[in-house]
Amino acid sequence: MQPDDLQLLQWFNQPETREKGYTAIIHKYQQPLYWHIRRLVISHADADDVLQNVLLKVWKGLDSFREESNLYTWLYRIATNESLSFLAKEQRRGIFNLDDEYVNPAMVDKLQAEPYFNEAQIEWKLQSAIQQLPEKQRLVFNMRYFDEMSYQTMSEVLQTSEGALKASYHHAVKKIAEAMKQL
Amino acid sequence: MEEKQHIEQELQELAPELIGLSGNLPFWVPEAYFTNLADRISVLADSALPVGTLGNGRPFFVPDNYFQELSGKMKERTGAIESKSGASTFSINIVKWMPYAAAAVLGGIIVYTAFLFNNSGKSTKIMQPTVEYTAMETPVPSHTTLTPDNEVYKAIAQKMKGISDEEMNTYLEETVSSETTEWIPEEMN
Repeated sequence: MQPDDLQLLQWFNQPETREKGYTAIIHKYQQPLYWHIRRLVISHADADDVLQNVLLKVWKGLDSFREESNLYTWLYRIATNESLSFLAKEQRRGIFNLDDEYVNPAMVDKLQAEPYFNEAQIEWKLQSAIQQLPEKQRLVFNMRYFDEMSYQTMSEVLQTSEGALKASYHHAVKKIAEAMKQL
Repeated sequence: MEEKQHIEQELQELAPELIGLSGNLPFWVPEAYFTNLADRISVLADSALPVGTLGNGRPFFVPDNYFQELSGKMKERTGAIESKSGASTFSINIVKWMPYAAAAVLGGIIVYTAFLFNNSGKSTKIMQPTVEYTAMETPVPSHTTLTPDNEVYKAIAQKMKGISDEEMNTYLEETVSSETTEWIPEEMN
């Protein structure tokens, strides 16, 4: 049984239990954050770099975290921003915009470079189809389909209206189903 | 759990073939990656600079209280130098005389430079014959040894026949130094 977020924050805010609180936050959220990042950046090495940056930002910024927002939402926002910044830097593009319809052609190549990639396997087909989506739809699809996030939480994380997120998700699902028929 | 049902309903309407695939991510992760992550991040977080210390332009480490203790340390060190005799006094005297020595050297350099500047035309002329002489490449004997078979020796001996020993001694005492007497053959003395 893992401690709830309120308990974690109380530990972190006390100097004598700060280290314990931070370690407990990592243990609780490392896997969801890692997989969220990994699905966006694809390679493990990149995901590890981004995750470390995220957790260092958490260490530095948790003092200023306002408890009216959910810890889980706050962590996801940092992880999303770090991942998108990483992708933007990698592509030498400007700041990511959720209205962006940009499809990164390098993502499919990165996926195919993964260990154990097998294009005949259904899970890899699904991943290949996801990488052909614009970044905005890819992000929304991953958060809904894999992380089972509600539109309301997604709206808080991505600072976008629920209606826009629903539309993005629906478009993404249709495109993926179509792409998988052709793969 | 409730959200999962919403998602499945949504997929049922949009693309039923996608239901049930979300739990199987094919990505590879190194063994024990998640077991060690917290320790690795804790080390990084401990070594991370606190927010607000960046941007002062001095990334170098300085021990705690370094500047507060510096004056005391220097007093101790200078006290140790004063308590020593001999070598330490010599070193202090060197320090005292250092400005005068530096001034003397500087003055010498200025005078020498001025001398070279004034005589720059002459020095060119002086160098000229030396260059020509070395260009001749003629071997020059360092000295000529006088022996009884030598023609020069015979000519000198002939000319000196009419000179008495007494006159010769007087002449030598007046003109030849003690170093050059080694070169005069015994027959001449």
